[in-house]
Amino acid sequence: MNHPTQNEWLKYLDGEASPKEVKHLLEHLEQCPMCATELAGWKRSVQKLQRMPFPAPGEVRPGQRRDMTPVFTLVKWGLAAAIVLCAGFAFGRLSAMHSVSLERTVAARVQDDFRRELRADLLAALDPEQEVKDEFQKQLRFEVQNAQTKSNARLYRDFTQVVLQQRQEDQQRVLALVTDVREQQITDCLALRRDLETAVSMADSDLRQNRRQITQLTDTLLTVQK
Amino acid sequence: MGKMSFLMPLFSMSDEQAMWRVQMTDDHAAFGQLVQRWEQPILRLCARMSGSLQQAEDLKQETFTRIFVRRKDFRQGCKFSTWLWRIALNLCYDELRKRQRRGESPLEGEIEEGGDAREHASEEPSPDSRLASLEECELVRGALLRLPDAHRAVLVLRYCEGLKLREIADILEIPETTASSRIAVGLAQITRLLEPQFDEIKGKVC
Repeated sequence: MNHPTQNEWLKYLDGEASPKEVKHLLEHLEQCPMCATELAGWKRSVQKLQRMPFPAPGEVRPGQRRDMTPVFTLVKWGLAAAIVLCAGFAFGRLSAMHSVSLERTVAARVQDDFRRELRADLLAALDPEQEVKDEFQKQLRFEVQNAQTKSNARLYRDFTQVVLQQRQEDQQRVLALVTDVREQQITDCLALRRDLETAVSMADSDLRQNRRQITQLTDTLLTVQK
Repeated sequence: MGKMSFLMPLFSMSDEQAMWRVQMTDDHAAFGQLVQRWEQPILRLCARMSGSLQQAEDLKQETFTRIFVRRKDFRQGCKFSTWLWRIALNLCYDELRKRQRRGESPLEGEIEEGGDAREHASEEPSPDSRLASLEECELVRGALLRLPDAHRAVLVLRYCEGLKLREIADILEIPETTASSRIAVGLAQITRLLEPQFDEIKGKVC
């Protein structure tokens, strides 16, 4: 016979078996007196364990005399301190709420004066004529001068850049002009050569014509002499 | 009430919230709340594990001291009670092992100061049922102490303290099936101790 495992019995005992499991287990119980007895015994043991009183009759807590152990003394004083602190805090918070509006009025008045003073300080610091009054002004002036120096350096750098750029541009322009001039010269030369060639060829053809004419004349002359 | 309402959390914090305050600010009030809430269950566990109320007081003290000393070890997000039970149980095991090494016999139904149980009982009108339950209580206590430490622990946690299987498994850091087996074996054993006629049934594996 296949008996259910101890874990399965326990699940049933604890009421955590599924309906299907319960059915299977109950069926087995009907057929197996041994398991039935065992399970019944377990049930009784569980009940005995569950109803064990504490402390057991006859057990006397010796702690009645020493119920204030160091831990609990600490806790008692800690709790008292905590309550006092909380009370003090509560009172503090209560009084704090009344002074809020007072604070606001005072703050407003203080702010204006403060602003005026700060402005005066700043202006004094920046005016090179005036003597520095304190560390703050000295620092401020130094910072401002530093900033000015830095900005001057930047300006100079920018200016230099511009000048260089300008020079470059000029150079390029000059170069362009020179190039133009040269090209023009070349063009002119070419034209002159062409003219000369034309003149030469014209002269050449003139010469030929003259020679012919001269030949003709000579022939004519010779014929007349005969 | 509105202005004082910030005091409310002090009196109705969860264990984990209280422990947070203890960890962060050494809040003694919060710690005191934890002690108040848990001292009885821990005392019960220690008494049933050790068999001695006197010893149980010491063990309980030690448990809460350790909780405070090791407060930084508690990981938020975990259940405080699991950690607490575990610390208490380990202290009980340590004590029991020490006793074993000293060669002392396991205490059985030790009765202190109040004298014999029956003397007390006879001072008052004692119906049979009361005597019977007295006897039964003694029997169960004795039987528990005769179990191996590990089986005693799971039975006490499960049936005396009413913890679920899941939590017992977490406390002991074992799988649920292992915890379940241990309980089953413990039940089988204690049944035989409480009802001697069971010895006649051959220890069969169900």
